[in-house]
Amino acid sequence: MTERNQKSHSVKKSDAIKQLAGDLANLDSDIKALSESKGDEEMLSLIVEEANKGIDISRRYPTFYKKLLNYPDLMQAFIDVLESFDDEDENLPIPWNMEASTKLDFLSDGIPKPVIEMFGNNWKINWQRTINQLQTILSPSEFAYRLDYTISEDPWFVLLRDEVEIDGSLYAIALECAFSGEDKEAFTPFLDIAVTVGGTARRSRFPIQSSLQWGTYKETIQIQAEGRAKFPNISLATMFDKEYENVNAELSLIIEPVL
Amino acid sequence: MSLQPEEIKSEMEKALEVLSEQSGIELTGKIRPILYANLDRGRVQTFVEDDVAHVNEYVWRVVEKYLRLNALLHRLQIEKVNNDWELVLKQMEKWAYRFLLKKGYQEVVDTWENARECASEAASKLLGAYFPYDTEFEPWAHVIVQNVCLKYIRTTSKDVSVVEESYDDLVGTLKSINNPGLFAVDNQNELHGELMDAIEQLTPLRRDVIDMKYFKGLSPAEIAKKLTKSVRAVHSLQFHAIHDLRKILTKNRDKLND
Repeated sequence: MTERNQKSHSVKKSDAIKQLAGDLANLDSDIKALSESKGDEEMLSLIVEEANKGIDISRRYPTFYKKLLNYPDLMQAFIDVLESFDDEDENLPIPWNMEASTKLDFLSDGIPKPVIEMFGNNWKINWQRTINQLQTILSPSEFAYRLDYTISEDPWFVLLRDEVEIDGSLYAIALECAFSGEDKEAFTPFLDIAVTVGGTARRSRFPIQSSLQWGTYKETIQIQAEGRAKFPNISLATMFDKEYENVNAELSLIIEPVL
Repeated sequence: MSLQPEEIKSEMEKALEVLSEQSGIELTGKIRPILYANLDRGRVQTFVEDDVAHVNEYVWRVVEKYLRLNALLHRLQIEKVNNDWELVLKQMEKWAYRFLLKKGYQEVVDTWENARECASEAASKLLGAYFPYDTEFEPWAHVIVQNVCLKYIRTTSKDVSVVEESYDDLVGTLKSINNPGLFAVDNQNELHGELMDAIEQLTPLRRDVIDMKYFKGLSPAEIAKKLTKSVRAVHSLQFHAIHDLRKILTKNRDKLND
């Protein structure tokens, strides 16, 4: 008999066996259902932080834990991130690092500022994104092969994010989209608005309306208060070529108070 | 039954009401879109794990991180301050370099240059990426760097084999399994003896981790202390041990069937 069998355990052996067998069984259960679940890249950062704090993720996050057990790519990514934090504690000499200056070219992304029109007490903000800018954000060549996406790929695309000051109030705007849950050939665009009302400002101007135009897609929604609003779905065929390899339409977003 | 988004929203609004009373409507107005975006992304669901009591905890977690990290994110993503970016980019270059070394690349200047390219691409992604305020900046940025590096490795044919080798064991294990009910909990009585035998076949360190986690009920932190390893290493050992067990059990049963 081994030491393991002889010793008095703090966990009832049958419970331990049950839990271990459960984890083993989880290795192949629900694989089909889980394969529908994409975008765990972002979750990784949350789970890694928790694991770093010493939290038992198998108990606190059993659903995600099951995904880790089932997806080698995701598990490997998880382990790699965890281990890389350990590696940081070791001193790794990088002899070429001393002479290298950081290249910050990517900061000058050439993205145009929004156009703000003021007329009387009213205003209108207009953002434009060129085909090239959208192409960079969406990397559409990957769309054609998106079924080959690794599970850790982020399926969300931030099309626009900006802050604009009008009448003393700061409007923080973000436009992002993700594949629609119901229609795999469509995006659902979301608009986030948060307002900081300055000391000299009049109140923020809700309700406001927002118009999104992208190729032949044109929709306007009314927004009653700051928060998150959803545009109707937009078909991929509207903004991509037939192979979904190239973006073929510019995007325009307008925000203005409802008169 | 799993928590529905509407139930989560309702709990989030309760917490936001308290936040509004304590800190004013302006902060609440900034937190609300973050929470709803995170709900759409499935982050809230991941955190709450069907326990409605965790929703409140999640809201306050986001508030705390927003108050602490928003200035940094603003300087990086909106103001694009060069000094901040230099520090962040240098760190990302090191992460990318370490990652490539780990995946079998050599310690040569070419690898360093490739790592810098990856870091630069990751920085460009980070510039426009959504920060969810339920995690720290470092793990979030780290995952972005890692994903760019992985893409780089996968697109350079020479190194595909490096990555595939590292995944080989795990993928092989999953592919070799063709009987989902084989290790079902219902069979635990039969499984008992087999499991104990299989555990004995693990490497000593992996065996210790399984013993401490499942049979002694220790937390990862406690196991780490006992083994003088990091918590992160314990998680890694645990995953490998479970996959090894699976492999051993499958092999043993195949032998019996023959």
